[in-house]
Amino acid sequence: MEIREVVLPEEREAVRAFLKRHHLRYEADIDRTLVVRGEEGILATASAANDIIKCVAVREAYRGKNVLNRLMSRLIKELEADGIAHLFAYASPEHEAIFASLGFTPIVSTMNVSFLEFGGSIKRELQTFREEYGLDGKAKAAVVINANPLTKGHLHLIEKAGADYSQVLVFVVSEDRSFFPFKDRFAIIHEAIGERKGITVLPTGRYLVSYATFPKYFASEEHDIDESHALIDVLTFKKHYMPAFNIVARYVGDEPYSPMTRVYNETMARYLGSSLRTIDRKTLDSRPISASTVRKLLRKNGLEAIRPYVPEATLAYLKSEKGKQVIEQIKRTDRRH
Amino acid sequence: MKETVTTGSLESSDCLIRLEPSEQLEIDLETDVHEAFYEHIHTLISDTLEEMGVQSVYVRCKDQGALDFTIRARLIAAIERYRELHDG
Repeated sequence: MEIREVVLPEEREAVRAFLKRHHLRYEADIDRTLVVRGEEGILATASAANDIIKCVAVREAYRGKNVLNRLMSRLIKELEADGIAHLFAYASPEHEAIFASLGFTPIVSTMNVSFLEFGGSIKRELQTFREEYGLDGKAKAAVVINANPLTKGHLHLIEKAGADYSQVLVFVVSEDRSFFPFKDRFAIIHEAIGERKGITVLPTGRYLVSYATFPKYFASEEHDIDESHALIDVLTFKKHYMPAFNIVARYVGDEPYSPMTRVYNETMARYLGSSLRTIDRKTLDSRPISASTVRKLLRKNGLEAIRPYVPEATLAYLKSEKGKQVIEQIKRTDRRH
Repeated sequence: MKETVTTGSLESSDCLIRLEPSEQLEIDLETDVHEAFYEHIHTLISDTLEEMGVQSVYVRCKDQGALDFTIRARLIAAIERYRELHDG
């Protein structure tokens, strides 16, 4: 019995076929695959897409025989050697107990999938945020934005939440997969909002609109999205973020354009119930203001065209050296983020 | 880039130990034999840390029914590698 990393295309095909027999699909974003081989061929396999473990299967006759334990130990150490210590895993709910026996902790599960983590703890991370930002236990409203870039629409949403609640948490998507880097998106929001009483700007962390909880959000195609893609993210917010910060309302803008955001909003409406407050999107000459509209305008018409849509802080950033580079990049590529 | 050190394995009769930077001493122990040996293993880990002069680290231990000397060996190896990593 030997554990090997899959490198050759024909080996990958063998894994694909093995997974198919176990009703799993070899996913496109996988960047590392290990296999355990024996005389009968593949005995077990496990893959990772950056920090997400997926496509794990063990031949039936080899279950409960330490094969998976060996394979997973190896995968955990290989990832750690590359600096990836905090891992996530997607598994079918009936395999949750097996993952738990390997040291994984369940975060949330749906009827179809369990989402777990290893080497990190959502409770710990949210506790750290609470302490770092000095948050108390009072009822709060929350807004989750990528702000790629920040528009007057985002500010409108934050104002609406602030009108109803004395404390508002503005979560900024931490994942760095957007045109505007996280650090800069975060700084622009700080600049635009200033030291307003009752408003706290904080990162979403690794568990909210992250590549781990909502990979589809960052995909280049947004047409084939359905509820299942947004559900893990929505349930994680409901089960962990809401109680940890005492969030009683989440404010979102209604979505006339993007199928992605629409499905996300619909999923939230279903699972958050009356805690979800959908606000009419701010419009300009009857055109809804959105970050994607701003990016389109930047691409086609340049900086002056977006002036009415964005606050001074966004404009000032775009005029800076860093901002110019971001505009260049938006012009060069037509990916979504 | 790499901040953590992991030793051992998840195999039966072994344990997986991971050390992470922390400002205090924290031990997160999960064991198959929770009820009976949790306190025993916890003490074993904290005694070994003290013996090695470790004052601040976050220890995660996933025990799969390892014997004392295995846990001790895994922990000592982890501490030595952790020191190499962080003290150059």
